[in-house]
Amino acid sequence: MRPSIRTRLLVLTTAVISLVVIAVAAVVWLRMSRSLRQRLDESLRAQAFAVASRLEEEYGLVQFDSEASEKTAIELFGDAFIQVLDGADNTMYASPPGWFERLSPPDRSPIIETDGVAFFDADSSDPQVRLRLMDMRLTISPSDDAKALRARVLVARPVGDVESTLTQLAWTLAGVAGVSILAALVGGHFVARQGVHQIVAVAKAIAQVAPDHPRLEIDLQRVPVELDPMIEKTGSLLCLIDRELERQRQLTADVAHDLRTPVAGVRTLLDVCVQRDRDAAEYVETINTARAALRQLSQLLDDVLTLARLDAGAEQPHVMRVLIKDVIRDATEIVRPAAIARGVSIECDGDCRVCIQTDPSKLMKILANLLSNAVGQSLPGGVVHVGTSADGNGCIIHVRDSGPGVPADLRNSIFDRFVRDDRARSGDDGHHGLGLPIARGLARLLGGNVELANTAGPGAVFHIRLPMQDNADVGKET
Amino acid sequence: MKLLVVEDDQLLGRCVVKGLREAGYVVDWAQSGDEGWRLLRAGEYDGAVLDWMLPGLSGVAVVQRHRARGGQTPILLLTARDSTDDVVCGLDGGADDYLVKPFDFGVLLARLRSLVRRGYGKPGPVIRVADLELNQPMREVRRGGERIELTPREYKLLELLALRADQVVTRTEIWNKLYESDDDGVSNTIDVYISYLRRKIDRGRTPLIVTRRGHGYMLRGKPCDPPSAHDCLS
Repeated sequence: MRPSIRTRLLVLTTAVISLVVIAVAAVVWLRMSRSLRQRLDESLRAQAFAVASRLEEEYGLVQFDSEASEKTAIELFGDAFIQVLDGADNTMYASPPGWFERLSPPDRSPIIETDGVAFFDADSSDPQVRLRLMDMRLTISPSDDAKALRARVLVARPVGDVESTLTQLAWTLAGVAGVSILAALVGGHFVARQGVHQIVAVAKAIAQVAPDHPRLEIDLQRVPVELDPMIEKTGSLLCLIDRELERQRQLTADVAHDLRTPVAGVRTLLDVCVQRDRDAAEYVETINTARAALRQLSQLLDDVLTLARLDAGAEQPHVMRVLIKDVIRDATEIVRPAAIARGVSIECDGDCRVCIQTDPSKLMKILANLLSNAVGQSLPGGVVHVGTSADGNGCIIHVRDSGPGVPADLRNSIFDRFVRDDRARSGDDGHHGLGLPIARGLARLLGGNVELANTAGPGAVFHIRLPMQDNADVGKET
Repeated sequence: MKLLVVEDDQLLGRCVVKGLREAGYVVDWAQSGDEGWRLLRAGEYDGAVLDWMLPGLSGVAVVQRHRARGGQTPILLLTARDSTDDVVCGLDGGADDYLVKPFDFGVLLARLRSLVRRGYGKPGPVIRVADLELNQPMREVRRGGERIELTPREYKLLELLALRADQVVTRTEIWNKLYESDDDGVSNTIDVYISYLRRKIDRGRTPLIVTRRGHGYMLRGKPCDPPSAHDCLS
């Protein structure tokens, strides 16, 4: 069975209260019983002394084996049984006569034995009557110088009264204990319910968190302080999940929009085309338009898939020795048609003869993305500069455009997906705001980064930082 | 019928505009939310097709502004956003219909026909004026059960008059709704088309097309009142 706080609290509370009650009852009973028996023994002793004083009257000086001092004459009690034995255990005196013969001899060891006085619990021949027996030894020294006489005084009293009082007390105590345990059960139930009430409320609030908008709606004033760490952690985790979900939703919506719109374009193009008969030239034009649109669409799909692979960690760099100059040349070739169409030229500063260990095709993709952006941002007639610098730690490839620069409100989000600076662009040029996130993702895969440089003056400058050695591999070896 | 298309995607916008024009609509095309809002506010459109995600104002913002100003133009949102929340948000924003990209162009046409009809208070696909019947989906015209062949332009003119039956439609209105702004026409083009229509529809029957001199034309569904009997003769 799984643990339940409520059951645990109930059982523990009840058990603790019950144990305390039972212990108290037991102590009360034991003390009571001891005190009653002591009083019984006191009265036996008093009677024994009374008997002894009678003996003294009859036979002269009685010397007790015990050091008991007082020998007060006390009236004999009616319900006591008394027997006096001489040294040879012959009965000298018995009251009532003959009764002690019916008493089963106390063959057990005495319960209390001090200074020649012993107390026994004895059974009489009458099974209803249990007795307390006192056996006192003494020496009688007669005044007429006769030989001193050793004697025993036996005094017995029934213990029925004491026992019935104790039994009554035991029943009363048991009753009180039973009621207390019942009360403990009820109290324990209440304590358990109150104890888990707040926890149950918090658990319910957490259970009610909606999966699509996870937010913890709970009144902190009513949460027990012990749960604070859990509430704080849960709240911050849910907040993170919510933000991530929102980001995913936004991304999905962006991907959906950017995929659906070109698909809708091609579909409408073809739907409209077959709406009526057209001449051959028009069909050819339609097909060419559809092909161009599908080319763009597959480019977008490639970009989305690249990002997905980067996210999933499925991209692996293939590291080799690379001359930066070659990569810049290849990337420039890819972007050149767009640059020519826009009237923008690309210039390489310096000879860029830096050699590093990296993945050339991924570096080329990074550079091509940056160059393509730079061309798009530059005004017709503008120049895009690309160059390299290196120090001990690594090398930096910089790409500078001659456009208006990245606006201040986009500086922080320019590397986010589907964020574009549309000011200098025509509405539909196949750019979806994935170029920079891909460039940054690939650069990080290569152990470097892509950053927007803080520069004064017109034109945005992007830096590709790369390690000289492949850091990823170095990291793996150590 | 004059429609406004607001779509920033070049290919989709071009194709939708082309398809709608071929279906006989007069179409204005705006490529940003702001331009769309300017045109919608200024022009009298029989319907508008709005993309949701636009540069500048979003499609929904345009709809909300238009409705806030009391604009009645039926609006269809054309969008890549397909979640339930988006649909609810779009329709609650004041749009009349919602179509998720990519869509079937035939469906877009049917929805626009329905929206435009409703805009004129005629929910059924067959418009009836007296014994004249216009079947919109089939683009078929019958009078007294007899089928009448019309050219696309004659059909659009008759459709406009039928949707506005028993109301005077001015020449300017007819020109705005049936001709692109760059169409060059002669001042009596409309009169010429009205006379073609009369020849095909009214010849040998009780005349339905009525001229209100100095105002415009009217397709009359109810019988003439005696005082204006001279109108019927013109």
